[in-house]
Amino acid sequence: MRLGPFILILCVPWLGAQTNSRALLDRYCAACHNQKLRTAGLAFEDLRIENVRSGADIWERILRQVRTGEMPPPGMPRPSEPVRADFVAAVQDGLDRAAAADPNPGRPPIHRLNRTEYGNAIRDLLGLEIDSSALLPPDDSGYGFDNIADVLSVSPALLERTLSAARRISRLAVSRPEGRPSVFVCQPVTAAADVPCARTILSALARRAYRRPVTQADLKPLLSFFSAGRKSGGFDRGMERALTALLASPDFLLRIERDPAGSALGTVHRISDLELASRLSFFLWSSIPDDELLDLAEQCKLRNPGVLEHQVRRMLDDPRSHTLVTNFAGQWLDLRRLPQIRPNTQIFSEFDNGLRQDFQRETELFLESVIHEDRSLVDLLDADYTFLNERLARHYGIPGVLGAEFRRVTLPDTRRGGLLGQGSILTLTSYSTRTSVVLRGKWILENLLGEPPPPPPPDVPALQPEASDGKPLSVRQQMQLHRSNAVCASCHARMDPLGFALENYDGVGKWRTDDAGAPIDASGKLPDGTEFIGPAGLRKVLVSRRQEFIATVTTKLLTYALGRGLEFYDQPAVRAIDRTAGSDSTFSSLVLGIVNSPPFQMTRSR
Amino acid sequence: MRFTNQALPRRAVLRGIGAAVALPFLDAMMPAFAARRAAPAPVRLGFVYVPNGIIMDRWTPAAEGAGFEFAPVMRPLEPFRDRLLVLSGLAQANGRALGDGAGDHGRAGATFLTGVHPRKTEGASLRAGISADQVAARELGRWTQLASLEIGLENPAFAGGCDSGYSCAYTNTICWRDPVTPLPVETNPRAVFERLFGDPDAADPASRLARAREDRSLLDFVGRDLTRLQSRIGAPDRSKLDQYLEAVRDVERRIQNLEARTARSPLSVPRRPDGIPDSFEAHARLMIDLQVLAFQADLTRVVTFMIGHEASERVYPSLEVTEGHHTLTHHRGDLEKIEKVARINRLHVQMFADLLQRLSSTPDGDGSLLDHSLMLYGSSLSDGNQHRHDDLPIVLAGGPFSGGRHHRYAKETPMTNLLLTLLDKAGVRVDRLGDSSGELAGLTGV
Repeated sequence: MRLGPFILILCVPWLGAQTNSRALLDRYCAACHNQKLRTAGLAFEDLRIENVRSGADIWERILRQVRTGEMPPPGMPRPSEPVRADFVAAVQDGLDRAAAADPNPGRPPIHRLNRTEYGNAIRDLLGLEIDSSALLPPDDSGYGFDNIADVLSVSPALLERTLSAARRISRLAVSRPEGRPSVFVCQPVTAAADVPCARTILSALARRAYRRPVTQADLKPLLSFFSAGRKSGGFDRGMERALTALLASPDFLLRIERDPAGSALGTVHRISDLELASRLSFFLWSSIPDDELLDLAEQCKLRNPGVLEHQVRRMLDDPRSHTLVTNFAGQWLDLRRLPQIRPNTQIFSEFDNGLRQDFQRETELFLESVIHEDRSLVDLLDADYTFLNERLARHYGIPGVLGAEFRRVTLPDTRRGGLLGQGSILTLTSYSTRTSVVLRGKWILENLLGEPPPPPPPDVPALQPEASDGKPLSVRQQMQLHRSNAVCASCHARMDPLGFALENYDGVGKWRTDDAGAPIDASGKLPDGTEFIGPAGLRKVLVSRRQEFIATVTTKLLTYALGRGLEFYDQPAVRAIDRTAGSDSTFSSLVLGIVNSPPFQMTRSR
Repeated sequence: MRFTNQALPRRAVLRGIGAAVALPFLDAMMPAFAARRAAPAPVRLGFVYVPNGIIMDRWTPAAEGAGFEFAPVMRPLEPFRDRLLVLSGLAQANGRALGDGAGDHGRAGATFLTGVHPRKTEGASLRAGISADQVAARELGRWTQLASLEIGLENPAFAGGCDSGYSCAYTNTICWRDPVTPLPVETNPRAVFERLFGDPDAADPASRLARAREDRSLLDFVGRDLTRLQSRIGAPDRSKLDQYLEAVRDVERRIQNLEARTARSPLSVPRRPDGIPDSFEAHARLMIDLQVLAFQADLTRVVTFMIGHEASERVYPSLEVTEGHHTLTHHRGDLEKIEKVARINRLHVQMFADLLQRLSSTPDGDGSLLDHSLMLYGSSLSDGNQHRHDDLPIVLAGGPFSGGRHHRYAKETPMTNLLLTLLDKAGVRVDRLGDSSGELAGLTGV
């Protein structure tokens, strides 16, 4: 009863919004989405905004379609902008309240370490740098990342490779002289000391590898491998065999989260501190937790006030977090494809492997600066600095940078700035012989704005190289003609203008003012009427849409953090993370938002 | 009947030098297999896959029946005219959208050997169907060290490079051990080598036996650990552990077979290849060497060879093709692009011809390896430009078929009928595969 007045205050505007929302659905949507027609399999008669919890999946779809302007479709009556905005706010509010009262954190499946995680774990466990890509087969991916538990399957071929990797790594670990003391914390001088020493070493290793306190049941098989090996080849051979077993163990290779004893199916609970420690380390380091994290988790102190945030900041400061650049951003921004790109060197004579590596280095250093200096993520769009060496500076036409080493350079003019001025992205989104406004536009929609266009229908009509009167057409004119086809228009009208704004960069990211003699026209106009010219104009537009940009980064980062695709029930968490991070979101604010969110902290029994 | 490492030419095959030096090596291997000659030669199955369809009017022979003229793309197969059948008209209807929208490449890869409409998902609840090669492996694999071998020339696509709405698992492989377990395709010749011959560091039979015993105890441990884990988790997670346990049993069986054969007639281990060669052609030759070797030594009777995976964007500098393959196949009628795709198609066919050549020149039992192999070549799309799942380009070679014919089946004849028939010829009897409706007529002369 004490809550009465609050409910009243909160609910009065909310009730008004509810009525309007229902009216909007009836007026603009129900003509197609009704029980009779069921367009796209959807009927809205029974949707009750007072009870968004049932039908939340449909409400999230409605929200997305209406927010991005996909629905109502072109040609149908649309609500005015204020009405639409009210509707979006009301539905979002309803969904977010329902989720806050009764969150559904989802459930990540059993996760097999992927090959990057395996390599990092070996590095952190044994101090060995191995090339895991030579030892293990590549992993499948989904939702844009290769750490998705659902597709990390176990085949006989994979198992064989993990056994042989375990064997090779343990041989290496035992035989090498340097680094050995940190792992082999004791060295028995008498035969009688062999087993106690082995037990000491293996206990410490197993705790790290299994990411939890070690039991007698864990140690017993490892020690029997030790004894068998010791019989044939002494202490070292024994350790080698025990280590092989440890590295082949499912306890090492699988991340399994357990439901508390007696928890009913489908109920929601917080994961244990140990499970949280693993989630943190695999998210921020793509590796196993270190002793500090494990100690805190074993003492159940990881969630004490301030501790979690301190740990997150410590982990972000640690060099192991470089994996967020190579592994997370490398996949989010497609940078992993860079080594495969083959620009035609007859056309782009300045391109070679050296330039490719410089591109990669620039973008990595840039991303690292945004992450480690904890800058606003909006800097990714329009930073006034980048990292260059002499060669790259020359390629970009920036004077005064001498020498092969990279350094931070404040950009002298507005030609470049942010990711979209970098050779890596610009080359990735070009064909081998020319730029592509479509590829560039698509890349921006997909990776920066979170509105991936649907793929083209397979048999799209060819571009017309000349007009009906036989006059040759420029690419821009050809694309305009292409957009006069209604099927193509709906997507290209969103993609192409973004790409055209980047036409000042050629297929390997060099600045140009003309293309084969014809002056570059870098102007663009979006379907909503927004007009802009050139990269600087495009940057302004993107910065003005920072909310969508931050939401896209959050979606990608949360997918990566959880190792599963996001579902409708995750959307309230995405919105909450963005709200907490604010409009000037820094990378750490986003990471902390994720770490504190229900899908990261909790799970559902099954 | 054993021979030693020293007996092999030092510059033996498996160094990526190519077919020219490969043959002496295989000859050298022969004594080791001589003991097997007495028994009737086993039937082998080979599936060779090419992605993104084929320029069909340069593939399909104009005439049906015997005496047809080879169209340009298929011409490298002309020397094998009498050993092959060209089959037109077959379809993989389940590769079509059927309400699932875009993603024809994802569905094409996943249907080719399964005939099952794959579930549209980027990861959660992945599902297709068991593939024909794995149906065969369950039966034929009982006799060999490896139930099957899945190899290819193209690394899995990177995240983000896969077909719209479909996990990369659907395009990276055409082999499905069961409806929820896609099998990775190995591209590294060195890794293939190690699957066939075990760890090459254990050079002599005695140390290889010791290694096998160690592996067995390791697998025991892994199996026990899995069983222990399994008792403490919910049902959905249990299936993942089941998959793991299956893999453990499979590897255990392989090791047992390896032990048995090492005890019986020690197989000398040839030199191990170094890794993936830089050139596509050299890579292909090496992988062809390895599969011929695997068949010849009866290490496996089922091989799937993916020359590329669906939506492959490989560039072919040796053919002066610098645009990605898949991008080019959406040629929209541009003759220059069509010409380039046809060049790629022909290079792939040439690789199949090389494989047939190697099989036909390798003695096996009372004839050649080709006599005892059923080799299927094809793509799960015909016209890549329009993503057509019917009238698929398929060639069948080797085995007991009386070849030299081009047979056209009625429209929409399920390709799974062909797969079912192939399985039957290999002695593997199943009633159904995917959307099969019965065995295929027209494969006479058996």
